[in-house]
Formats: sequence, structure tokens, C-alpha cells
Amino acid sequence: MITVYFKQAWNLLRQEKLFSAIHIIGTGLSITIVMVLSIVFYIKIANIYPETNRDRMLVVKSVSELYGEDNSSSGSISLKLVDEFIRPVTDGVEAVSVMIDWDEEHYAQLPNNKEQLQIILKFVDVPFWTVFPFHFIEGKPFSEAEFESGITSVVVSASTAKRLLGRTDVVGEYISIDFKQYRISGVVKDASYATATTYANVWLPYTINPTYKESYGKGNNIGDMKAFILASSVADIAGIKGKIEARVEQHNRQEKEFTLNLNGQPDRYWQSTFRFWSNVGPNFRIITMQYSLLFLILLLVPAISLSGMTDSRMEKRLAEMGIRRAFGAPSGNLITQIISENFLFTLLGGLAGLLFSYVLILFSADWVMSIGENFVDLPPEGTKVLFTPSMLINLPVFFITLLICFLLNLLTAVIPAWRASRRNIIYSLNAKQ
Amino acid sequence: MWRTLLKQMWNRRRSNIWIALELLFVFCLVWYIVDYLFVYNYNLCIPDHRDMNHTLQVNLAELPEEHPEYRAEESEGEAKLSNYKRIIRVIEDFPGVESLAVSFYGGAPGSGSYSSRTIINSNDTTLYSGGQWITIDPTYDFFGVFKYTTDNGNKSVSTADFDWDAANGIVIGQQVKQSLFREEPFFRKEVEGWRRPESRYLIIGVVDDIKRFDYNRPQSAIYAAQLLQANNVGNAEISIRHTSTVSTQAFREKFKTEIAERLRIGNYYLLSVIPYTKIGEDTKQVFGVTNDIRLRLYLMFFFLANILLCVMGTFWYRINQRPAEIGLRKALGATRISIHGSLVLEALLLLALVTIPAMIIEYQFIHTDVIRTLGRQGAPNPAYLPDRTLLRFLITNGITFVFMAFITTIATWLPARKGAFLAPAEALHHE
Repeated sequence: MITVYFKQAWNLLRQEKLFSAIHIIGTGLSITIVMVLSIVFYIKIANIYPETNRDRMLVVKSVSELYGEDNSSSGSISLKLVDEFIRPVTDGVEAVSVMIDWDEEHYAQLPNNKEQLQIILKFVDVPFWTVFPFHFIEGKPFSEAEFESGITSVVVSASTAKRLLGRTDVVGEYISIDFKQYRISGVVKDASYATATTYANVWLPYTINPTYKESYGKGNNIGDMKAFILASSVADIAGIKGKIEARVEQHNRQEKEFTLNLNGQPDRYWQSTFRFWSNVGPNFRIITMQYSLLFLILLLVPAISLSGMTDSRMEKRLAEMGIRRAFGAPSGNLITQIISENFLFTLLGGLAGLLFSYVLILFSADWVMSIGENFVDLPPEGTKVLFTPSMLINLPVFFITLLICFLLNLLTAVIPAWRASRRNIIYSLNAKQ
Repeated sequence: MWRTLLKQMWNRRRSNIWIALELLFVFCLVWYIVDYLFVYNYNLCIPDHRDMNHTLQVNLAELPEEHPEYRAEESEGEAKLSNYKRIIRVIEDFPGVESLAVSFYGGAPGSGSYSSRTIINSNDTTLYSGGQWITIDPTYDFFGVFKYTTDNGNKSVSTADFDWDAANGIVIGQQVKQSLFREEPFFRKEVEGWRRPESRYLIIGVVDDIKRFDYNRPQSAIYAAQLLQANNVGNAEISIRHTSTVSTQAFREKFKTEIAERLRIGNYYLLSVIPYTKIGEDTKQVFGVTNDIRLRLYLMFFFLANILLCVMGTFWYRINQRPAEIGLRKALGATRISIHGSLVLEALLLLALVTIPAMIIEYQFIHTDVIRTLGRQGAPNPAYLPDRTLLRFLITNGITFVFMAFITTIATWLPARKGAFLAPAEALHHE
């Protein structure tokens, strides 16, 4: 039956080219905008190279020390906090990685060239390579011994190796960063700037950084670091979070001078993408409301317009509806027919919208990933935000597109179908055309 | 004619209700965006009384201790200061550099750094003003580099125009002057720090108000002096103005290429040279303003495109469905223009009818304080148009109406043209 409805809809589409085009463009526009936002969120929270363990990851970015009613201090976390509250929790934990992620300018000196290359550095530890499984093209990460001794051994991305030394088989060679020499221990497959948590040109052991042990606040819990906890399985996440929270609570019961506040952390990875301030956590109720409202508007505006057009089309087909009802077709059948026919238009619009959303994302690559962020991290000059095909073309994205098409179709067809099916048979039969 | 139009609209209420609903919904949404863009553009049009064009930030860095050319003694105290001053002289002497400034703690324009202080009129402690505290070295021409003005933009100033030899002399912006002294004389009057009466300052001049960012309204600023010394050289920032006869891009490339080696003094080396206009644009991006604008423009395009498609699609169907009616009107003497006009007018009338309920809904937005005024500062200022809520409400609704009317007219154009060109005989044939 559905095939018959689709055939009928296909014929309608061919008969009324302009109207069909308007309907499909309208649907496509809506799907485009919704899909751009959906793909951005997908890239931000799904398991994407090299952050392929996001679903079983917990993040602690910041901490507050409260000294009284009006007095507090907050910032990134210190190594002391990690050692005292995070690392002791081992049940269900596969690895804990700590990273210094400074927003400073760094330049690499090109051999035989006066020009310097602005680069992004990340100061990491050995478990970083477990938590974020980068693909090593050459060599391997710096060893535990190298890390502990603070030897200037680094990992570079393949594109950085090519830009600095002209090739990727550069293990054992030296590069100059801020006029300091570093030995390359490994070369990894590039990550996209879209995975900004781990993106860098060069990854160095944080023990190289003279400030890594520095801490602030009365309890020395504030520092320059963030921690990533990799759970053995998704089921272990709640337990790990509970244990860390329990340790903080226990500390606060004994501590008289200040109260330690992780503001709801550890976060699931997706939650951490909404955390911008160190002294206050994100209000997920408001965030959910805001995005729900935005998605509702983005669906409702085209839905009203498309409903109006579908309703006009129904007006034209009243006589046909009248005949079908006169021969005993129940209202439910007519409603199903109209919704099914409309679904063909919506699907075609959805396909066009999805393709156009890819075009839009590629054209606005340098800023689209920062939609919804309070503070935007600017990439250094010359850094391109690249999207891999797997980020854009994948089952979840297709499923979201289909779901939105289905929703939009219901929004646009149900009311006109219901109205058409309830028309008086005599009136319908009497309708012209 | 109006009565006929209204009657026709009522008769087509089944399809008109969808268009009206869409127009109402989109009117409110577009107005929300127009209101934001109105304030944004209004602020852009307010003069800044300083100029970042043709200015560059010159960033220096020091070699790491591990570098073979590193000399520990060159990074200590007076030697470091002396090296820094030598670098300044080299930059000043570079052909094309018109003037040079040294400021501290992110006081130069464009960056996101902000340090503020509040000062009180020592003679009347009820008068006080807060403002951005900008620390400059008066030996160099900070006001000249950024082309500061006085007398409401009519007179250029240079740092040397003020008596910085006066102990704790400060230059204040117009807003600070107004808050501290009203219309009273201010020159060489004493002010003190908020809750810090021991910090006393002498007013040595006034400059025009500046905008921290071009999308903000002008705000209060206070300029204090600090000489370049061994202990503050790490917080210093060098800014230069180059001659306007070459583009900043060309000058920057030439500057970087030709001066880099000459700036290898002590342990210093040239790190980067960045135009202040770029710093301003980057900060705008970092603070999310650029994305806000882009997103709003995309959404406005999306909403208006929906109106276009909705009105066009529905009217197209209407023309296809009612050719007999058009034929009859033509047979009774209606011209193409009048048929065309009446269809466009019908759509515009529908828009006019939804404008009133739309404004009532928008009023609820204002009432619930959803509307965001960029760079709001304290109590509403009647001289600042966006603070005059009613006037702003009417202007932004007017702009929204024009936008919507333009799109509606375009949307009805094609169907109306088709209707107007229907041959009466063919149209009547349907009857």
C-alpha cells in the first residue's frame, strides 16, 4: 500500500514541479540547519579519533576552594589534587591522564629558514597515549623513565614533521621549539582541530614544564592541569564518580579552613564540553531547555510553512478525497496516505538538506565547531579545521537525519491530513478540479 | 477596496491562517535578531576616538636557558632593561615607524585584558567613577600611536601634551570627568582610590572616551603613568604606528624581514608582529561575538527564506486554484497591474495584521528581560538610543516590518505575475 502512495506522490511531484520544488527546498533548509547543529554536537561528543574513548571517560577540569561566604578561589586543578582525590580511585579505572593545556604562543624554528612556525603544544603524561589512542606512524611515545626524568623527548604529528623536516620518518631527530631542542620519539597520525581537547602539533612530557608542580589556594588544589579518567567500561563510570565525590566529601568533613568544591565534576565527556567557568558548573536544565527551544523553533518555522502548503494541496485534492470516502475509505487510511505521500517530499528534502549541511560545514569549518561556546579557542594562523569523512558520513548522522525527517513530516502533514479527512463528503465531492 | 480585500482574505481564511501564523512567528523571531543587530550596528557607528588602523603590536621573547647563545647576565635587572630600551630605539629608527608606545598589563586596545579601578573626588566623596585602568610609559607616545583625541574628536593629542612630571598624575576620559566633577573645574584637582585614601592622584588632563571593543558603547578609562623599569619590563607591550602610505600587511612583512636580526639584543628576539586590528577581530571571536553575529544572520536568512517559500507556495496554489475568479475580474475590466497589485497588497495586509499581535508578544520578551543590550553599563542613559526602550522597540519593529514586507512582496511577485498574465478567456474557461 505504501508503495502505491509513494508512486502517487512521485506522480504529484512530476505534475507540480514548482510547488514540489518549493516544498523540497523548504524541507531541505530546515534539515540543513538542524543537521549542521547535530553534526557539530556529534563531532564534539562522539567517539572520534583520537578521542575514541569519550563514552567511557570522566573529566575534571576545574576546582573551587571556598573560604567563607564571599571569599573563594578557583581555577584548573593541581597535580596535588589529582594525587589526593583522583589517582587513589582505582576500581574500574583503566588509566588516568593529566594534561597542561596552556593558551600561550609557541613557535617552531624551521631549519635554514628565518620564518618561524606558530604551533600548538600539549604537555601530557604517559597514560595520555592510553586514554587517547593515537595511531603511531613512526616510533612510540616517550617512556615512563623519560617522562620521570624530564628528558626532552616529544611526539609530533605527521603534518608537523613534514612541515618542519620534510618527511615523517624522523624518529631520533631534533626540532627546535621556542629555540629549545627536542628529540622526536614518535610520529602520530594527525588529529583534527575539531577534536580540540587533544589536538596539538607537538606533545611533550609535562615534566619538562618547570611549573607542573605549582599549586595555588589554601589547600594547594588549584593549578594548571586537567584530568581525564578512562573507565574500564561505561558501567564503571558512576562508581568512579561516586568514589571521587566521596573522597572530596570526606576531606571537607575534616578540613576546617576551606571547602573543596568540584562543582559537580567529574563530568562525563559530553558534559565537560559545556563547562566554561572554573567557579560554577553548567546548568544542564537551562542548556537542555535552550537547545530544545532552538531545535523546536528550527522545526516549527518550516513546519508551519510546509503545513500551509500541504493544506493548500489538500484543498486541490478534495474531490479525490471525497470519492475515496464515498467508496468507504476510513479517515485513518486517508491520513496514512497523506502522511506517506508527504514523507516522499520530506525524504527528498532531507537528502538535499543533509548534503547541503555537509557543504555548509566544510565552508564554515574555521568557526562552526565553536557554535554555542562562551569562549572560543582560536587556532594559530594557518591551522585548518579538517573534517574526516567518518565525522560527517556515519550511521548516527543518517539516523538523526531520518528521525528529523520523520518528525518534520509528522509536524507538516498531520494537521492538513486530519483536516482533509474530516471534510464533509458532499462538500468534498462538490469541490472543483 | 480595503473592505473587499479583507473580505477576500476572510474567505480564504483556511490557507491564510497558515501564512498569518508563519508571519507572526517569524516576525517575532526576526525582530529578536534585528534588535540585537540594531544595537550592535548602533555601537559600531559611535566614534571610538582612537584609531587602530596602521598600528602593530611588537612581541619579544627571550631565549631559553638551554640555548647556546643564552647569556644569564643579559636577563638580569639593569642589563635586561637596557637591552629592552635598545630594542625600542632600533624599532623607533626603522623607516616608516611614525610613533611608538609602551604600555603595561594589556592596556593597549583590542585585547581581552581588562583591569579596572574606582576613584573618588577627594572634595566630594559622593562623586566617584570606575573605569579601565590603563598604565602607560609617558616617555613614549601612547596617545599618538592610537590617535587619541580631545574636544569630542576635534583635536588630536599626544602623550607629551600632559604634565606627567606631576606626582601621580592621571589623564581621565570624559565619562570619568563627568562622574567626578560634573561641570566643575577638574584640572589639577585631587582624587583618591576607592577604599584606598592613601592612593592619591592628580588630574592632569582629559581625553575623549574610547570603546573597549568596537561593538561596545564608549566607556570610562583612566590613564596612569609608569616608567619602564627592570621590574616591569616583563609586563611591557610595544606598539607602533606606521606610515599610512603603505598597507599594514606590506609594512608588517617588511618590518619582520628587515628588523628581526637587529632585534637579537641580549637574550631577546622578535617573536611576532601583529596588527591591532587583527587582535581586535580575534578578541571578538574569542568572546563569541563574531559567532553570535554569524549565527543570527544565518538564522535570519533561514526564517526569511521560510516566509518566502510559505507565501510563494500558498499563493501559487491559490492562483492555480482560482483562475476563474481572476478571469472574472479581468472580464469586468481589472488591469494586469491591479490584479498584480491586489495580490501583493493582500499579502502585505496580512503582514500588517499580524504586526500588532507580534508586537504584543515581543513586549512580553522585553517584560521578561530576555532582550540583551550589548555592553549595558549601569543605569539607562537617555542620550544612548538603545537605552530608550520604547523608541528602540518602535525602530526595530519598523526595520523588521520593512524586511518582512520586502520578502513578502518578492514571494508574491511570481504567483501574482502568473495571475496577472492569465488570459481572461482561458481563466473563465475554468468556470
